[in-house]
Amino acid sequence: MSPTKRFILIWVSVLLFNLTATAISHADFTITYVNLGAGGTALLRLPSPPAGSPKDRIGIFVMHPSSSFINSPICTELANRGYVTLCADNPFSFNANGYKGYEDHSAIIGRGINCLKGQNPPGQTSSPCSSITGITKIIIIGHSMAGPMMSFYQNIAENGAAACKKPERLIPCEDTNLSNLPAADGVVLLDSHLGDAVATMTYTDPAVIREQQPDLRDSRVDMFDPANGYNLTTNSATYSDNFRKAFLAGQSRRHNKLIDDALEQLSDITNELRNVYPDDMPFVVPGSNGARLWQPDIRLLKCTQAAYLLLTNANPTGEGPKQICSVRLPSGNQGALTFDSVTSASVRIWLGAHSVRTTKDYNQTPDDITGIVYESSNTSTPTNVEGITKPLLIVVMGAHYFMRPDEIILTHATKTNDKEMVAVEGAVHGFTPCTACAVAQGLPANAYGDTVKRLFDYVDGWLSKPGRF
Amino acid sequence: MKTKTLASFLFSFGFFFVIAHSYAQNFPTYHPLGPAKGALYRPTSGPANIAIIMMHRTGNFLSLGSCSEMRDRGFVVLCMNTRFDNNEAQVIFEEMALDVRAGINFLRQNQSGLTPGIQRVILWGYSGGGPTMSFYQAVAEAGVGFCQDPHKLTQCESSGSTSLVGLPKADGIVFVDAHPGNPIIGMLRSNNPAVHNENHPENLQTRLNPYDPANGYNPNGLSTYSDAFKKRYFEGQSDRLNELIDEAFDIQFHIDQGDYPYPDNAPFVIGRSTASKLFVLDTSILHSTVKPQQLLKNDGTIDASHVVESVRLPDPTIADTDETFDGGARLLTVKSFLSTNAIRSTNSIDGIDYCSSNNSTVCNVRQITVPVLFNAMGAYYFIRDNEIHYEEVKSQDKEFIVIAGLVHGLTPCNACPGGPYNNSQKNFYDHIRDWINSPARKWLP
Repeated sequence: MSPTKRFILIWVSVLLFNLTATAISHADFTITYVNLGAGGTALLRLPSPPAGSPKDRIGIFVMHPSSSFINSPICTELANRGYVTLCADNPFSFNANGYKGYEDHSAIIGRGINCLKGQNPPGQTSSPCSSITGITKIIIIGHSMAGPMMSFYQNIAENGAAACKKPERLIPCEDTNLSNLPAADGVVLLDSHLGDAVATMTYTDPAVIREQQPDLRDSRVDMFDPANGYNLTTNSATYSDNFRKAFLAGQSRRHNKLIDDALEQLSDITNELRNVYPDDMPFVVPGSNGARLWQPDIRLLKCTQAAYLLLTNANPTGEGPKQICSVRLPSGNQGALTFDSVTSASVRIWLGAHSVRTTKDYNQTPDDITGIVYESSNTSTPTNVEGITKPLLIVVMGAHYFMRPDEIILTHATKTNDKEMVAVEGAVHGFTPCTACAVAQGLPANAYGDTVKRLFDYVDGWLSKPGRF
Repeated sequence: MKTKTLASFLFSFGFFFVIAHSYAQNFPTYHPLGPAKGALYRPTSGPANIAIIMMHRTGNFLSLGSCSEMRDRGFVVLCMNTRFDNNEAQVIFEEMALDVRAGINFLRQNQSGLTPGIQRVILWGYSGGGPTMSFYQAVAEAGVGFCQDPHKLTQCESSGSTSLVGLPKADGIVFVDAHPGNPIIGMLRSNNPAVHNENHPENLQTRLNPYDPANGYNPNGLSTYSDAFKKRYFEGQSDRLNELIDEAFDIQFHIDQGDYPYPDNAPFVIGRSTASKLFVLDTSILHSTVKPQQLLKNDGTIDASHVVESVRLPDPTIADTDETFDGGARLLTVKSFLSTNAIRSTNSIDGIDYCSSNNSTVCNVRQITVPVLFNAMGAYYFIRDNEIHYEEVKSQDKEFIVIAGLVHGLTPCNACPGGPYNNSQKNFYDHIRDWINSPARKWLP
């Protein structure tokens, strides 16, 4: 080929690529309903036309353990940027107290990954999955409580079910559906929880004196008592150090006691000493969904300890690295005083999905949460990321409260050589800009700009970085 | 370089072809319908002016086999999940009518742009969908006064966001092995009346224990109970449920008085409450129709000259399920219990106060005047119940048929006597197609 012809071919190729890319940036995508089987339903979004770039080889799977994510903006935003996405719901969507651990979700995740690889779900001779070709890399994305779920999945897919049956766990996973799970090629965690169990533990209300009489409250550790610093009108609080210490000690004590009670019941069941039911027991826990100290007192868990890139309105691709501090508003939850605070579960579900040990060092400070025995629960994100070798991206939302928790997750990701954490300035947990936060900071309401675009542009850049996938 | 560039072009082209190919497939489309969800199945060819809505209470119907079966017979089918899918403890039964309404409006108003020309909407009440659809249509035809009857344990709303005022009527209903009502089949006839202390469901009274061989239980096959035991048992089931209802109302009273630990709701755990259906052990109970009825046989013919008997087999293993927490107990709330799982009665078979619950197909069909087709599966236990629905429905355009040898899941029972039943499923769907398309319905243009 002559140099001139070669130049023309390259020029045409570049032009075509740019035209395609331009089209994708405003792109459409086709949406197809997929029956994954086993109670899994999903929407497949195929960019139309395809990106015509290496993005075409990347498939993205998204699901949440208990919320409907079939129409998650993660899938629409990334399909708009040229990726094939599959957003799924599962038999526990809308039933947060129904699963005993993420082993109950893993089969659906595996089916979703295999679907993106072009494999029909088991038992189906025809499905949209078989129409998908060319996907060679799978990324799983976990937002919020899906962070622990996806990290569990990837840990087990990479290391086998032995990883969730370690003796330090309060209860081992059930490994019925955990064999031959296809591993993803990368993991993205967006504003991830530390785990289902950590979430419940940090919601456990120490003011409940007797489990059978939850309206009888110990005012000394009642975070909703104005005498302790709570503002019932603004759902904000400024707690004293003494109250904080007393509250957290009580929270740890009550949660550990609940664990002990559940373990005793499980032992009785296992040893056939308890004959009410031979398999499991009801375990109904009042005051276990809402009493989280750092939600009204925004001084707690406010900042990271180390420096990270901050995606700002002025510098969408990031400025820093710098210490990241949340601009969130108080969000105390008086639902903790209603029936909404009750976890209606069984002993096995309580131990598998809602229990994690804490030590006497359990504490919440402006830049830390300590004293949690992460390895006691299979739902712990820090424990599960320890088993992940694939590339890991963590993005934390700047107007929420997972700065330090997600930093902890990052520090536990010791096996992967490709890990990164960034923050999106002014974004709430659902990715959109917090206009009220901006005003509270003395800024114009629109100061944080288009946080959704910044977030997914960054994820797009991370996914499509040459050499990564 | 050249090879890579060429490969890139070919790859892009190939991918586009894949997308085009995916368009050619006839997969359903997904549609959020407020808090409910729908999967829309459209026929491969030809315009359809009749649409069917399929929905349960908590079950996932988005991929129900009947959706594609009826689509393949020329109908637009909207398969829906309610706002309460996957979560029995959340169900407020009356609110599901709002989801049916959303489905009807979606189709009639062509909200998706994919269903132009829909002139008729038929409800499909399968299993627990039977009470759901019959309740909807009863309120749509009779008004909210029907569901606000103070005799009922719970009432519907007539104002606010969950108001059931002004529901648009459907044009007809196809019932498919419909429950007589979730409180009836799921609680009244399923609870173990031998429990005499709700805190200790492991302690059973011998005189009411269905799993005691001295009472007629056979762990290896068909159980046979005496008439005296059956009377005792059915009355005992009513007694236990009536006491649970009283207990729930007592809690509700204290909630309303503000002297309960929670201001809004309460947990309600019921052991041994899901499995102890005596007619699963002794198939002579609820065995047949009372009168000669239509039987759609495996060869496609219909025989209406005989009383139709169920060919179902007994299942003595429910004894194992009954004692467990996972399979035998219910973890509800006071509100979901009263709304969805409670009904008054004096005995569980024929002493039911059908109109004490909104979740009662029998009470609901008494208000329904549009054409209705009742299908009962010949290898299950809803034959007599659906004959009662047929007897009680207000509509003049009604039909009842039993499908030979199909189980509740609409598949053939290979082990049941009188087979084979390998054609029954196709016969079943074809019969419904023909019933809908019959000139007698006047639904086709």
